[in-house]
Amino acid sequence: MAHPITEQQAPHGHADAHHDDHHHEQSFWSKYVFSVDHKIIGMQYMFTGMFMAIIGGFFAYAFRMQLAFPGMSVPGWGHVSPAEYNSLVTNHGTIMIFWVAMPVLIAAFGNFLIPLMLGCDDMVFPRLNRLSYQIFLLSAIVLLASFVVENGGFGGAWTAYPPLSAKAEYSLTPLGSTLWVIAVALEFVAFLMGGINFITTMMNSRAPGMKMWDIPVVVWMIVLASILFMLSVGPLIAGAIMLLFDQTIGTGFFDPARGGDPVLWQHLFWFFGHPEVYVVLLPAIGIVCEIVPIFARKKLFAYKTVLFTAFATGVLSFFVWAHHQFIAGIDPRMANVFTVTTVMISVPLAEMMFVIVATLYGGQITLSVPMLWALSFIGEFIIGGITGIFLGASGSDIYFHDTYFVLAHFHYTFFPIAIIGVYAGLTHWYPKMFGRMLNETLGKIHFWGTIIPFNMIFIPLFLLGLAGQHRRIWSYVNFPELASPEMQNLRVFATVSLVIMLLFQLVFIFNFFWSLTRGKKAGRNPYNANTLEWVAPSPPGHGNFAEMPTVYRGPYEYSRPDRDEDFWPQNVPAESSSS
Amino acid sequence: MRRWLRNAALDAVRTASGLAALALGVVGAFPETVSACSVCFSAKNEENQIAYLASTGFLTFLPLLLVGALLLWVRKRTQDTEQPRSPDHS
Amino acid sequence: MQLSYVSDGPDKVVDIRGRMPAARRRQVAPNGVIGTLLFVMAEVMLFAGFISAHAVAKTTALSGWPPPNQPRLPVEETAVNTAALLLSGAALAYAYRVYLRDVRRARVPFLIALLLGCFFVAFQGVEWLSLLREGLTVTSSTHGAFFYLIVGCHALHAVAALIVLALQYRQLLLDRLSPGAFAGAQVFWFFVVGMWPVLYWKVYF
Ligand code: HEM
Ligand SMILES: [Cu+2]
Repeated sequence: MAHPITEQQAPHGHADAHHDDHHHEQSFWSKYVFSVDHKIIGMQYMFTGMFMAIIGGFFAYAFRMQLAFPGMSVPGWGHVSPAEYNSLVTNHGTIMIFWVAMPVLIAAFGNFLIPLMLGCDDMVFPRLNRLSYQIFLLSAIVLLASFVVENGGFGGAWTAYPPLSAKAEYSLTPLGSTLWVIAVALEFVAFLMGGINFITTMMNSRAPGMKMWDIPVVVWMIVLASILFMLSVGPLIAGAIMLLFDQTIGTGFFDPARGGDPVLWQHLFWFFGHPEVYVVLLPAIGIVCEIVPIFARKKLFAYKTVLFTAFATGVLSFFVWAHHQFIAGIDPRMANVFTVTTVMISVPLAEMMFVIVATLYGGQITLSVPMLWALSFIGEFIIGGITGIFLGASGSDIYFHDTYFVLAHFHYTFFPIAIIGVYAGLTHWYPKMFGRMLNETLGKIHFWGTIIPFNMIFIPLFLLGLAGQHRRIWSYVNFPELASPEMQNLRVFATVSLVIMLLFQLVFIFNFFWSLTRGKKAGRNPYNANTLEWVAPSPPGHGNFAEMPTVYRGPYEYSRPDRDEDFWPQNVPAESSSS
Repeated sequence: MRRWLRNAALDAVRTASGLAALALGVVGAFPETVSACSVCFSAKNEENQIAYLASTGFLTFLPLLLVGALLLWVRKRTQDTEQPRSPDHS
Repeated sequence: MQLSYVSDGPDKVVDIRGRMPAARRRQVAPNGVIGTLLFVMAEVMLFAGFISAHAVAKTTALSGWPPPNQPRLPVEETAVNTAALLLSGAALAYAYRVYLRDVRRARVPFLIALLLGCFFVAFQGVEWLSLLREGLTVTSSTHGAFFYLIVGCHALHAVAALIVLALQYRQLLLDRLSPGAFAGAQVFWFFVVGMWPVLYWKVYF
């Protein structure tokens, strides 16, 4: 290959390699806190994300209690004042999207899986990777700090529309809103670094023999998500800087009284915001695509179709964002175009769902815990996707906008992604991460205890939305048409379901820590799977592989009629009978 | 047979994208303005409306252009090195 | 903790433990170049966001654009400065071409590129001072705010790039500058140089 650029690569991480060769014990700090090992960084992202999830879940508990029992003193929180309510709702959304879904789905799974699945020993930029986590941690700390400063945390909704977010006279949280913007901006910087790492690693560090179409779907999806993120986040960072200046140094970018334009923010925000939903969706679909072939013992149906549909989704995702502004007063020509594109984007998503269903067809299905999560992902996500079409039609959205119908829509998309997808991945790769199996019975109790209450929370919210219940209202007592006993009963029902669901999460936490030491030892390849991470020991040591693998085929060769074994790992040469 | 299927699929994609483009063109060109509806009292002036349309187009197509350029570059650099592999992969 | 790679050819790397002697990993391009390119793509979108916001804000300004009672932006002087920056980009490109054949001969054009870049930033600093004195500030109008925001953001990138180039110049003098690192920095400097004429056209006119 004719290279204009020849590189005498100065060995990166020389000092680290030196350490490694001498096998001398690293201190706790350099091993677990300031590590550059992709697996440790992945864990750091995961545990930080899970910690934030607990906070986000607690916030949901507090404001749901207020909605069900207005004015009550919520156990563990106390009275929820209107300002506190706003801040709780705002930061619940912010946390769940930016500090749970993004770090766990993309950063944690991406860091852990990409080098293992590509058969290399680390990311191409290990130091950048560590810096990425450190900036992310800092962003989390800034966000947490914003809750305890004077006047409390920001309460202008996770979308932070000005003028509410731009002026302290309106938001009443001068410090809280500034810290919120800074935290979000830092978080973006962290993910930008991580994303660059993922993409470059996939391009340059694949195991010998691994071609484009031999890369496992989940790696593709995480890389595509990183590309989407990278290309969409710029305008939002631009907007965030402008917002920050409006808040702090008195510019008037979003202030109509001074020649600014508040709708501009909505464009900059949603230009990022809609691709962002696919940024989190694609990795979750990737996880499902890894799990289903293994537990159906079948080749993934139409591997390339999945990827091309994902590319199509990525392209289309840049064409739909203005469906969030249908009633913000946009040009009607634009509204029409965005209606069509929004309805169109459901097509590739539906296709991906069909591909997974087709993979199941005729397979030998084992309903293990990861498989249950993967299957429920499809069932629940379809509800979210279909309700999105109603919202995408600008005519019906004029009625639905800012009601609980929208809220239920995006929870039916987001919960499958951020909770179901994460549990699927976590239960699936737990043996690889920690070397032991999770308890199946506890896993199933946790699964049903999460899925059933989840539906019990959000189906009532669809109904409430159809009845006209607006979002972001502290108490409906003052809205007689929304305070009827029937509506209030639905609110109570949803809240009680939420509490049940939250309690069932304790089962998972128990299972997680109990299995760390008591679980059955996993061995290298407990599921007889094909992809390269199952070639490495569980848990993988430094450098991941004892023998760097070479790849001979695609990742989903299950139940081939011409072979005795029903799986065929990517690294086993064709002539050798088995591994 | 497989070839026939492939061609049919390609045709279907082409027809679908053609229809979609047509639909977009039609609905984009002929909006009904309804003064009573908040969707339609939007821009402060004609210029503002055009600025929004132009920047929408600009922001939407720029990322595709960037990725397209990157892909072409990658393709150019890898083209001559992908060799066919052993036949077990079908 | 990760293993280092040593090169055994232009684009073939093996692991120093020698675990993988048989087959090799192929690189599309040096890691640094790909990483920088990806970063530049994100940066282009950042500026695209600024430009779009600027284009919209132009049409909602209260008293015309630029506001009648505000100082004009120095179009002619900046044209000279733009030329200086473009020359700097050309000098660096030339330096890289020479470098691939003869490392030492790259020193002079590299230094010229660096100095022209510094001139660009310094010139802008002077320009800003006089504009501030004439009353164009971030709070005087959205026109002023956008000017400082966009041009300032570009200047920050230029300064960051110049610091990298200065560090690399030192490496070059010591004959220790690697081609991958040079190529990566070059990509970033081309971004800074290439972005400027667009901003100049959008902001100053
Ligand atoms: C199947 C494709 C989808 C369609 C057609 C669709 C359509 C829409 C539309 C039109 C809205 C705006 C409703 C309004 O504010 O009036 C909306 C809101 C929303 N969607 Fe979707 N959506 C889809 C998939 C997703 C996915 C996959 C996610 C999440 C990962 C998601 C997350 C959201 C969120 C968070 C909001 C509300 C934002 C807010 O106002 O706070 N959507 N969706
Ligand atoms: Cu959207």
